[in-house]
Amino acid sequence: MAQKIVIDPVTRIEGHAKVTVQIGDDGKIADARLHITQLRGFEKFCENRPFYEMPSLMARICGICPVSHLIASSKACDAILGVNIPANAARLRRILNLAQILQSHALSVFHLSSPDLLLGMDSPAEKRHLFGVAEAAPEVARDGIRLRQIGQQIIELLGGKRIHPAWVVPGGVSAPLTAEKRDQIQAMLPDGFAALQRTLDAFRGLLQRFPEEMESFANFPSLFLGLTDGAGKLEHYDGPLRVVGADGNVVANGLRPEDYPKYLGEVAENDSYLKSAYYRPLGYPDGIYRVGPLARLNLVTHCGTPRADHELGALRTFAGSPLLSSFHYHHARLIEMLHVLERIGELLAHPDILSPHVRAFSEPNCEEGVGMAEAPRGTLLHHYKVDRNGLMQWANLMIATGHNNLAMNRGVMQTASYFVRDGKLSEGALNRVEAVVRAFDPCLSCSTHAAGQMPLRIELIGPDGTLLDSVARES
Amino acid sequence: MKQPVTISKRALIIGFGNPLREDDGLGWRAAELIESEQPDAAVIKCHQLTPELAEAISQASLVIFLDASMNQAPGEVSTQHIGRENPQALSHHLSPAQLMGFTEQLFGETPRSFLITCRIENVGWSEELSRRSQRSAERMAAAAQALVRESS
Repeated sequence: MAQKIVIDPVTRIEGHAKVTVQIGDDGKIADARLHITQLRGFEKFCENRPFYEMPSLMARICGICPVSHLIASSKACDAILGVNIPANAARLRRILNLAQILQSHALSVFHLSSPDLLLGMDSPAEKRHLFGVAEAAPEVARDGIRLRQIGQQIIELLGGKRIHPAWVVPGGVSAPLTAEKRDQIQAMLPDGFAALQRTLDAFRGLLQRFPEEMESFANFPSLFLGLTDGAGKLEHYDGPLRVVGADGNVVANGLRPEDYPKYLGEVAENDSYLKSAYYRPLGYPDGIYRVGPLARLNLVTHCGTPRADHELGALRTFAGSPLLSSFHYHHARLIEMLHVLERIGELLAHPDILSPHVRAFSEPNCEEGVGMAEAPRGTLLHHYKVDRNGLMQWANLMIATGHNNLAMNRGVMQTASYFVRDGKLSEGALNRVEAVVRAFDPCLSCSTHAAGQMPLRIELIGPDGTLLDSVARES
Repeated sequence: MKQPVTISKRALIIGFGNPLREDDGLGWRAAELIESEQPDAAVIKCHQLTPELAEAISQASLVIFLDASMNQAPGEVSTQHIGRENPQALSHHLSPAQLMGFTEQLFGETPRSFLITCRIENVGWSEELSRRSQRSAERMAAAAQALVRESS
């Protein structure tokens, strides 16, 4: 007899968050916390599934960055197979990953953050969204949707569909690139360059409007972590991890992804479903670090592509190096987008890019595998253990938002301390607390897509636990 | 080979819905039928309407949205002219009128546009339409093709 299973309530909702601000005896803000209130459960419900299902299953974690999970998962599965994938498979995966970064960064910069940047942090909440931008500056909105579209179209051309493509598989990719598709992708790049150059020129002009935000948006010393090519060049797909300090000095280099438990730890706090990662040698919470575009640019000496290197040089001249204010995540995203277009062009020009050798076949040879890649928001890690039959026994995922959790919390504290005045929360202060979270582009940005409308509750709590003030914005 | 849709003053058909939720894939299926029978029309199938569709819409001569509905009489195929609305906020829901309004905001003039819908009953977990919705998809495709012929 048919059964119906009803899950109620549905906990995988779209990124509801809560911020609490604690007032100390001295009337100043003593603590501020960001709480992530949803539970996913992928690590648990993949158990006893065949490992080769993981790329497609894990990609369902996200509708914005499924390609990132697809790639990290496939790399973990490559390790379980015990194979080195063909060089051209790695090139094609790289292009897919770069396209993912392009479309996701465009979403973050244009759809989510451009209302704050173009219209102003204190502009009317009812206008702070992409459509408000379209009204005020249609050319910016046009460039934004075009750039996102280019990323999505490259993903569709390679993977067969824009969201949740199944083209990346354990051992490589399922089909080689054709000359026709290569030419189509190449034909999109000039449009992308033009749109990005206009955006970068406009963005530089906007920076002077935000001195307080640059000063107060998670602007503090921390470590920075991410992949590099080992020699200090920007890297998004492979390579060892590097850690640099707030002074720009390399703290650790050549860290192997599979050794991550030795240098990364995770702590679960009782007020959030999002774990906080820390750099183990410094302990918790002193081992606070940041990942993502800002961190990636802080890790490297150069991007390795001329246009992006020119822009990186200009940013470092303007804001110093390393970049400590998380406000510069936005600028870092734009520079990475430029690099992405340049790298895709380079990869497509490789003489072997149409090679049909794109997949290695094998039975599982190892009972454990770690896969790591740079997702748009930062370093993404999938770690799997399987039994002798290749059935999943255990999984651990470390996502960018978890790496950044300590920094986001400290950023919320800093921004709230700066903008909450006389124990009162203005709409502008509320928006800035949201905006500092948004600068990190956390994967709970599934909720921040409604710029100015993010379901958010901020509470001011006195030293005796009394609720002094609250501002709520419902979805 | 599947290629990104390029539109240049052609009719654009946008079928949207969730093909994993049984009859919610009605618009998607109707668009597939047109794709196979009307090669001169550009066809896009998608889960939801997003701002990125604006550019393709701006380049079309006629736009027809195909969607499932739960708010009309059983068996009726409804064809409505779409007005223009200004979207009030960015969310996962964008109506055809809001998308047309957004396109107008970005690109100026927009083509004539219609929404064709038919009632559905079942939105369970299935990649197949019910028999009734299979017939509805054929009727919606026929209605859309008639509009394309009229406009050419």
